[in-house]
Amino acid sequence: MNALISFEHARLGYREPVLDDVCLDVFPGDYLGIVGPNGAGKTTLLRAILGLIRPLAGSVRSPGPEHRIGYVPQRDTLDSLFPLSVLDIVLMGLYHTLGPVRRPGPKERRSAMDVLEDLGIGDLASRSYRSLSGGQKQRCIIARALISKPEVLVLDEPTNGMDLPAEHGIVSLIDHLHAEHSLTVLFVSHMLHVVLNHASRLAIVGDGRVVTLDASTDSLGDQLAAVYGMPVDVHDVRGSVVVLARQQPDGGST
Amino acid sequence: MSWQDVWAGLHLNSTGVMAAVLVGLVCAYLGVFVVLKRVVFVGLTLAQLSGAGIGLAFLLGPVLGALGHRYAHSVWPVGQVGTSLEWIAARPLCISLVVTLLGIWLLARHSWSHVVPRDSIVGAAYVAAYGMTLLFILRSPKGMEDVRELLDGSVIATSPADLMMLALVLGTVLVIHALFYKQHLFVAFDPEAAAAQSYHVAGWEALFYVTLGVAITVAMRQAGILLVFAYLVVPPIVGLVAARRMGSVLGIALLSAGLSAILGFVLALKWDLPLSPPTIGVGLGLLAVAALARRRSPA
Repeated sequence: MNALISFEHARLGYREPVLDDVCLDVFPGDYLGIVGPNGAGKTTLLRAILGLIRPLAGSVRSPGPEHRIGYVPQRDTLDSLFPLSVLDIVLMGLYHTLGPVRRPGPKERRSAMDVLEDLGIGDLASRSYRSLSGGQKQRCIIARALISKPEVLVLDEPTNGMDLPAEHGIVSLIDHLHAEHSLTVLFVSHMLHVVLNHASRLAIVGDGRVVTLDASTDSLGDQLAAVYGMPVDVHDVRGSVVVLARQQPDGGST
Repeated sequence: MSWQDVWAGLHLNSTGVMAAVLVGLVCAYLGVFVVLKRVVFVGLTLAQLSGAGIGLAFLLGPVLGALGHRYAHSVWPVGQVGTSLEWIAARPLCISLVVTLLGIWLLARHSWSHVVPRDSIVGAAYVAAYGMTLLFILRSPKGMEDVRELLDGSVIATSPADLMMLALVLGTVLVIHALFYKQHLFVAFDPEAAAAQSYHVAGWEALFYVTLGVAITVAMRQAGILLVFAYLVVPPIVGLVAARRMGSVLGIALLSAGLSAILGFVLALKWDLPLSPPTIGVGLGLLAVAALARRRSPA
């Protein structure tokens, strides 16, 4: 099977390298979770996947125009000051298809409404983005990513700062899109339990390297411990994976 | 002045009224993006840089003109340089535009954003521009007369040729922004997602700031620093307070700028005032009305 995205010994960074010797293949239908400590280089890897930075060495092959990437940024990066409705924001996902001067018309509005209905927020189309809850905002920007019918969906911290029901709703939606729409999903998160319970493969980013492994591998605890620099226990609780920092006898965590 | 005299004054200064309305409309449109992008201070700094450019032109104008006149009839290429110097000396706008665009280029190039906040760099540029303006103007032959013209402009003295030039430049800026509205909106709202859709974010940002710089420079020469900055800020705030959709915000900002320009002109004639204070007063009055309307309307 040909990889949709392929990193070959890539050195990634800006002026200085952040990640080195990255070898990573993303195949059609993958559900890849990208995890790692703060500042490890998750965003750098994501920017390379999106084609926003070029490798300092090695090569990165991103999808061509026939395999478009739908990108869902962190919702906190969007400025709620802008007086935009949910429909306005979803239509932005079609801007690149309209040519330089044409504005979205009735056909594009219908497409946007269809996607919003699919995601269960059709009734919010005319609502102001700033008035939405965290979960509704996330669905809105997922709808914007989906409207151009991408083959790959890239999500940056989609459940950050959400309460339990909203987090569950968003992760279930991503699972549904992956399973029912055969979307390749790349999911960046620092919330290990979310990624480990849903992704089939992991890319662990840390110490300037990217290690890929199966999400159900036995050595997961050791790999995470090496990257996070502390003992980590991985438990199975009623079928769900839970990651805990190992408690020391004096009550501290290492 | 009686209302009859005010009416006659409006007729007599119809080119000035049209210039004020034109400056108001274009600055208000651009101002909505300036306010939403949270770069109001950049707008003020560009206006001040443009002022410094005009100050420099006031200072250098006579020197350049005399130099140019002296060498204009010399053999080529010295004669050509002399003619060019004469041409530049007669057009302070050219020097102002060069200073403003140079400022935009320097502000875009700075690479200390990881050390100090961007705002502080813009602040330093503002202080430098203000200092240069004072220095240039106080050293210029006309002195305080130039200060007043710089602050309050010379809208009343707008000639049909000035109006034509204003309409041509500001009209072009407005057409560029209307054509590429969706690109400017997307890049301002979510630059990362726009870049992921292959938008050249730096290019669109450059187009925005260059057109803003050109509009401010041309508007400044006619309307003065205070009025241009007021149009960049007050009508957009009226729009954002009164409306909840981008289209309505732009519409109300334009309407508010047009009303402020016309009523400001009327009040300036009526009470023999400089144009800026009554125009700003009308804008703030409209802001108060918008704020009241928002309090009364459901969210």
